[in-house]
Amino acid sequence: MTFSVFEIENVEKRGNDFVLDVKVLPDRAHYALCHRGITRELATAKPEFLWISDFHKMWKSDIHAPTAAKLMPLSIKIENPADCRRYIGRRVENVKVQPSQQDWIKKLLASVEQRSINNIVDAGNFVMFDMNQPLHAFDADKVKGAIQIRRAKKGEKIITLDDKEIVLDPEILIIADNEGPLAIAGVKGGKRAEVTEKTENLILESANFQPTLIRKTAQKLGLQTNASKRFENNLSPVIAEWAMAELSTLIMESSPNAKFGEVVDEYPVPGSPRKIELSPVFVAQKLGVKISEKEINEILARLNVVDGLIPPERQDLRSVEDLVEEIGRLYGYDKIPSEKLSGTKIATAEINKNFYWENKIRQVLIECDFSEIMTFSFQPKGDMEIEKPLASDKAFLRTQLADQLAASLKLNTLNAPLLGLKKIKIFEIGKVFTKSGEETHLALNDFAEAKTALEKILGEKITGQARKGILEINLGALTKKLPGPKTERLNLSNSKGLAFRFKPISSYPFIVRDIAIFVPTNVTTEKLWTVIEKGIGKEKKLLANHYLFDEYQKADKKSLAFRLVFQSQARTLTDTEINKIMENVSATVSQNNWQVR
Amino acid sequence: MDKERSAGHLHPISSAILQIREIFDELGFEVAEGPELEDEWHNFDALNVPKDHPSRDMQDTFWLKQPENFQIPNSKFQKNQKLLLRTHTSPVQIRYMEQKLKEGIKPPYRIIAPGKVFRNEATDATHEAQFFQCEGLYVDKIVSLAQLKWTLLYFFKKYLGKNTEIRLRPSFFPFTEPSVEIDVKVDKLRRQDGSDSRPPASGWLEMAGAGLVHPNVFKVVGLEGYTGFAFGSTIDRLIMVKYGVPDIRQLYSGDLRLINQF
Repeated sequence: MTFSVFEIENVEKRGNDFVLDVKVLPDRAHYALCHRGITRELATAKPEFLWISDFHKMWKSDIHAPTAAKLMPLSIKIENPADCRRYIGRRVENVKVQPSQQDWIKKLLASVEQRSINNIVDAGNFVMFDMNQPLHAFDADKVKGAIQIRRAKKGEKIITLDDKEIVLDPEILIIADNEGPLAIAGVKGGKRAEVTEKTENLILESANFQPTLIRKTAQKLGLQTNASKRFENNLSPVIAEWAMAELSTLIMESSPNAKFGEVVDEYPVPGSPRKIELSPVFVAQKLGVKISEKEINEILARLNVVDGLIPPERQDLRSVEDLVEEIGRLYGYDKIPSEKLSGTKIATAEINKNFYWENKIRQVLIECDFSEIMTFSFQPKGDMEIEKPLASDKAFLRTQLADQLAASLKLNTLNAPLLGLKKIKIFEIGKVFTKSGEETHLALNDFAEAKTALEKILGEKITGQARKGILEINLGALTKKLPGPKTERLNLSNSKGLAFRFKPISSYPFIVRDIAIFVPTNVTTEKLWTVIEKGIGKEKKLLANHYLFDEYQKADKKSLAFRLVFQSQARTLTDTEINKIMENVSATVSQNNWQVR
Repeated sequence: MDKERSAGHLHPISSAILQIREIFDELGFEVAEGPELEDEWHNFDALNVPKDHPSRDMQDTFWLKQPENFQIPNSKFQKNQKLLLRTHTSPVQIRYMEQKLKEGIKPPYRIIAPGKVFRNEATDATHEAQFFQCEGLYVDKIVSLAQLKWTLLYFFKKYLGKNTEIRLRPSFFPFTEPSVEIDVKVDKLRRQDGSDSRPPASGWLEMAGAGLVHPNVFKVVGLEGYTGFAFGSTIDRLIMVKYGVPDIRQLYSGDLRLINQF
């Protein structure tokens, strides 16, 4: 399934059944957020499961089942067919509303984390999870006059099933009767015509609403429901009739004495059959592999696409490209060969000027011993404000780089011994956002020498704002003045090889120890270091860094001073244990008759 | 050892971008760029993401409060354009094609567009509100999925080692049709302490989204009849997988304990 249609994130065995956790993509949600959609895909992907899809021939079950009796007429009025593309209503009399008696329906609803409520609500939910079509039932005795699908009037109110009062407006589509709102269309039912244990007569609803309208309403009211989620994905109006048939059948099972009225189907503009002509040549061009017409037709047949006729429930299949995707995924992407790109030279290709100069500047600064940092674009203050920030201290876009560079400087200065740096020199190149828009800036500390070096390479005088030892330059403005890029390849990536592994940053403090030793002039630094290492012995894993930081000669001897930095990945080291290591080092050094100062 | 350690270090993201550029340069792809502060049209509408459509939810967006009289340079629709922080580098595709056509230059085009993008989502070790993406685009008369497959395999082998394998999985992006997800399997050496907090059992890691450019995208820029492929990958994730950096947030902490290891 993962390779033919969508990712199966989890499979859980529950009794004799399996619960699949499927990541349904937005373009397929209108047909696949339900059991039949998923089994249909399974059958399509694996021909040996095609029997499942035979089982689904009952999709086309009779809309008028069970047989209609003569009941009170039902009147349905759609104000605007653009808002409500189809509304199927049906009266049912003499039902018995009670907790669901059948274990199977309770068990299946529980498997999709739905609570069993009563036989009517459960039947509606079951059909929704089975077919994707949200359904609703009203208590017919509480409905006064015709069912009207219309925009709410300004200030109209509804109490929802969960007892919340909502003030409506003309942006919201409602189901109403002569007395006012009964339900927020496609989102949530209302209290006034709620089905309760006393209900004897029903009006069933299986409808299709405009997706954007439902989505906007659900967002505005903060009411994302199982129903709204399905409607906003653009369900096919065809499913409404299948769902009405299945809902009626289930209600009859739990209320054998119920009488079903005529199906009233308001379908102002029925969808016309969609046909897509596809040539095998086009498929071959797109996928880069020749698939025979016979095989293409076989794949399409598995999708129920015969003679180019698209099944009405597949709202996503609109163009030849859509069909190419279906063929590609079902043919198998693994069987598509890889075909070399020909002609590596594009005549009109250019070297991007900003990219060139920004990297040239990086190169110069790295050569001046600077390291490059990257920081966050969000700041507590600025000119451009975010509508919904992640946190109040991230509500604005940065107007300069200097503040975060200063913070980085502070952090790295504390770690200087660990880093083995006498001086921290850092820079950042990044976008800032001021009242005049987006600008590229460069900020750096300790800038005197670097500025000269840059001016020499760029051939332009560098001006910027210097504050607290940090220079900030409008790099975008500077780059504009520079000539076009040279064809020279910047040899900067100097990247780590594949064997390099990042050493995690320890969150525990480090301890610094310096040791200066007098040795004869013929003893090399390396030789001395091997002796020190021997002294550290098996505690070497605690040595986070070490370096020679001082060296001078006196008569026939020289003094070499090493800095040893200890740190653990797992705990705070104690002075006592480090002192012990250093004692061992001193002892080992002394064995060579060298003198620890 | 002293001298070597005190020398400067390039940020691993800059270094990765340069490496990616070098690899794609061999295939004739040039670098293109676009603004981080984008308009709604370039970020969504032009890329076939309909207004008020569930597919917009795939990318949680940072919208900006509209400053008065502010206009993004070169914006096609300057009035009433809502501003946002780009959620992907894909709008660079649109900007590049617009620009080239303005200059009277028709395809073939081959570009990569590395840059910073933003998502309004909770952060954790593998998610950050800002990260770097690299987009790729090839436009020509006839471009196939087979060529996309070759190109990405070429890239991943060069970047992650010659034993790297890729596979394509069905996916959905409004601006490509067909759309695929690219899974990558790196050889054992680096997989052992791979950075993914939830690595798939088989060792395949989701590394890029790709597909053939949707005809609506070409229609929008005025290149009807052309075809192309596009792909996008998160650079931060490439670095995390390649070198075993455990936490994406560390890349933006300004901490030389990370940067100077590279």
